[in-house]
This record gives sequence, structure tokens and C-alpha cells, in this order.
Amino acid sequence: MSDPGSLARWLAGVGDVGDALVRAVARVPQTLRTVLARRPYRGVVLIAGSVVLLLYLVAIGDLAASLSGRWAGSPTVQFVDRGVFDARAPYLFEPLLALYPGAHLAVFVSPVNIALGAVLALLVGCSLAVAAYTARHAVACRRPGYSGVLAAAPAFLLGFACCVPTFLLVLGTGVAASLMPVLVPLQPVFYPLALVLVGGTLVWSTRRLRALTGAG
Amino acid sequence: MEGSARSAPGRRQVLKGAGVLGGLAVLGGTGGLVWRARQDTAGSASASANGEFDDLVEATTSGGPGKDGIPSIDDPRFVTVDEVDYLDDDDVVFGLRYGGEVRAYPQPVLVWHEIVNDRVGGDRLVVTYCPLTGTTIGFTGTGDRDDMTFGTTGKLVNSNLLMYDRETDSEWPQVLGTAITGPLMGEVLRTVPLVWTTWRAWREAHPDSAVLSLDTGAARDYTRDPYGSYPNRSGYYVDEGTLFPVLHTDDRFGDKEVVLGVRAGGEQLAIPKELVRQDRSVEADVGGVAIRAEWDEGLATARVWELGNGLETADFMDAMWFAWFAFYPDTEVMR
Repeated sequence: MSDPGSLARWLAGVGDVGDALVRAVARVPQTLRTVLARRPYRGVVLIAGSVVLLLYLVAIGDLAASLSGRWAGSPTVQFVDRGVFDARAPYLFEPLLALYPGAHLAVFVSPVNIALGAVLALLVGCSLAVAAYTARHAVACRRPGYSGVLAAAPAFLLGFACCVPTFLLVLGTGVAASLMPVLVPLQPVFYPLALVLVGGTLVWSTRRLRALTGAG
Repeated sequence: MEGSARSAPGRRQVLKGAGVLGGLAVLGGTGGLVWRARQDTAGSASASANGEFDDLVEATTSGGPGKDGIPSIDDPRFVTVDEVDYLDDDDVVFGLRYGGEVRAYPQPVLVWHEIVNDRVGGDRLVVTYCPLTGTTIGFTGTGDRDDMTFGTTGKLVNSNLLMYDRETDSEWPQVLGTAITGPLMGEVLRTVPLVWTTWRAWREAHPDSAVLSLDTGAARDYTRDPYGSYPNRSGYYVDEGTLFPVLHTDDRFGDKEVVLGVRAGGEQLAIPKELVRQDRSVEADVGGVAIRAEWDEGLATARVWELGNGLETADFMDAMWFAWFAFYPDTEVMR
């Protein structure tokens, strides 16, 4: 980029990438309509999305299980007088309700936490459905699109990150102490980053599907 | 012409590219500013005016949760000993005798709340607990403010709970009990000691005790301690090292070894709790004030008294050694 011409070409290249990205994002809904028109792929979204949502809730502590039945004797339902948007930490909100369906399960219900988890879960589910569709239909390609599976990784990691200090303590005080100075300041960007990563995976999956099948 | 071999890029695409890069730069810059602001909020931005507490203010760090993200208990409800079905015999409780009343604050509850804005014997009494430093202290306000209530800032100093008072938003490290920022900077809270004991020992010694209930105003899993376990002696409570940086360190004792931190006459003394257990009673001079630490066999805990005209409760607390030394590097140490 030693001359203005090179700079212009480079900027134009960036513009082309931007255009391609916009086109790819714009095509996601149409591709999803095609994929989700088939019942098995709707099942993939439902099952994968549910699993991701459950794991997310476990990661942030809103869903807990106990083999020893440590909630024996707890009231089945406990209401709490809190605001829906009372925050505990960035992207982590106060439960309004505690449910103890039995001695072995506790559910702390925060509508906002569930909504945030559901958005991630839906994106992961859609990515997996597109990946499965690609694997089934892109016969000509020898490497079917398992890329959607990767979409789950950031969702899990960043779900754990929502409760940084206590989750890290599972790794031991020494490890936690070394990671804490890095992870705590990053906490506010974890959820948006998860959305970008998972959303990016979905866009990439649909783009790949269109490239392999020429349709979708 | 030589340049005609490669077609010139369209002006529209060049502008788009510049727009994309500009947008990313603005996004990155904004993120950086937010990051910087967050860092400043946790530290130097609120530095004290006279410099007395600058080291502590600079050492302030975010603990993860936001302000009041660890919710204080503002309307504490109590039950009788017979009504308690949520504690095991070995669970730790913090015992208080004040104004003719006897109360127990279970550690499995306080680990999720850290502050109870209570009223005891007609007085405002704020019970505070920091799991990371193993310190429990009652506060009854400052000289002319006797109805102060507190919340959690979500920040730490020397790994210790940094509280804020709801009237002035001044910030108070729990161990220090002194405001390090805000309008009340330099003011010192009156303290009321609580004792560490087990649920079984407390209920046997005080069957008439009131006990903090699980009706806390928040939904939490009170069967789980996020940091470890006192009954099982596991996790953070026994591991060497701290989660967050501290200003001063010393290896005369293990980081998590419990000492009785005593303050009197402007000086401090650390007495290993185990020493008191072995000797049953130890005496010392702190800042010209004679004190005696005594072992309470029934509660398996220690209390400290000032020896003057009769026995008066001293200003003391159980503390993890690292925490006491981090705040008081000039402390005397009894060995």
C-alpha cells in the first residue's frame, strides 16, 4: 500500500468483503426457511436448542441438580419480590422464583436469563440444523458440514463465563487467581461475543450450504 | 498504459471499505473507552483527595458482580432454633449477643448476601461477612450516624468486601471499617464482634436464640457454598493463595490460617486462634491497652476482652492471616 492506488484497491477489497457479508446475512432467513420446512431439521433445532439452553442455565447456576437430594424439605415454590431487570452481574439477572420439584432439582427462574439463553440456544440449534442439512444434501462434497457443531462451543464457554469467579474456583484457587484479572474485566463482553460467534457460525454455515448445493 | 492492466477499483467500493473500517474503529474505540471507564471505576478514578487512602483506592478491583449484585438482606426475618431445618450440625454460624438479644447468622446464608442490615436491641446493627477474607464484623454506624445501612459495591480491596453506605455512597473496606472514598472518607465505624461457631454448639448454648431465616428477599441455593466448604475443610477456605491481589504479604502463617485480629490504642495485634485454643487464655498489651483472649470451650471459639475496670469486649475479629496482614502490615504478632 505504498501508493494511493494500492490503498484504494485494498479499501475496495474490504468493501467487497462487507458486501459479501451483508449478502450472506440477508440470505440466512431464506436458507433457514428452506431447511426448517423439513420436519427432521425442526427437530434438530428443538433438541439442540433445548440442550444448549439447559446447559446455559446450569452454567449460570439457575438450574442445579443434586444426587444427594440436598433440597429435601424445601418449599416447592418460592416467590421473590425482585425486579425483572435486577442484575447480579453483566448479562446475569436475579431470579424471581425458585422451584424445587423434588429433593434433587432446583430451578431459579429469571425470565431475562432464560430469554438470553434462548437466543443463544436458537442460534446454535439453527446452525446445527443447517449443518445437518448440508451433510445430508451436499453429496458431492466429501467433507460434510459439521461446522455447526462448533457453534455450541462459544455458547458453553461464555455461559460459564457469566459466573466467572465461582466457576473458576472449581479449577482451584491458584488457577482461578491467575485467570481472574483477565476474565473479570472481560465479563461485560462475554455475552455479546457469544452472540457474534454463534451468529457468525450460522451465517458461515448457510453460506457454505449455498455454495455446496447452489440452493437453499 | 501500464496501469490499465489492473482495472481501477470503483469509488463506491472504496468508500464502502473505508466505511467498514471506520465503523470497526469506532466500535473498537468505544469498547476501549468503556473498558477504561470500567477499570477506572474499579480503581483510581475515585481516588481520595488527601492521599491517605490512595494505596487502597488504587488496589480496588472488580470482583465480578455489579453494585448490589450480591444483594444485602434489608428486611431480615428470624426463626426460632426449633424451626431451623436448613442447617446441619457442622455448619458455621456467626453468633451475636447484643442489647440483650441473642442471634445467629448462618454462614451458608451470608455467603450469598455478605451484608444484613439488621436492628438488634433497638439499634441499627449491620452484620457483614466476607467469604474471601473469612471476616465477620458487626457495625453500628459512625460517631453521629447511628442508622447507617450498607450494600455491596461488587468490588474488593485486598480481596476484602468493599461496602458502600446508602446515604452518601462512601466506600468502606469491611476489615478496615473506615471510609476510603466519598463524603465520609476517613470516618470509622463502631464495631461489634461476632463469634464463629457451629450450629450444634450455638443452639446447645443458646436454645433461645433467634436464627436468620432463608426468607432473604432473594432466591439462592443455600445448600451450596460457591467458594468451598467449612464443614469439609475444602476449596478456597483451605487452599493457599488468594483470588485477588493484595497489597502486603507475609509467610509467618499460612494464608488461610485464622488469627484473632485485635485493634486497640491505634495499634494492632494478631493472635493465632490455635494458640488461644491450646493455652485457653493469653494476655497481651496492644497500644497500651491490656487485653485477654479466652477460649470458649462450649462454642469452640475465642473472644477478646479489654482489661480495664472490669471486662469490656475488645475490637477484634477472626480473619484469614493474609487479609489481616494485607491491611495491617505493621501489626504485632503473638507466636
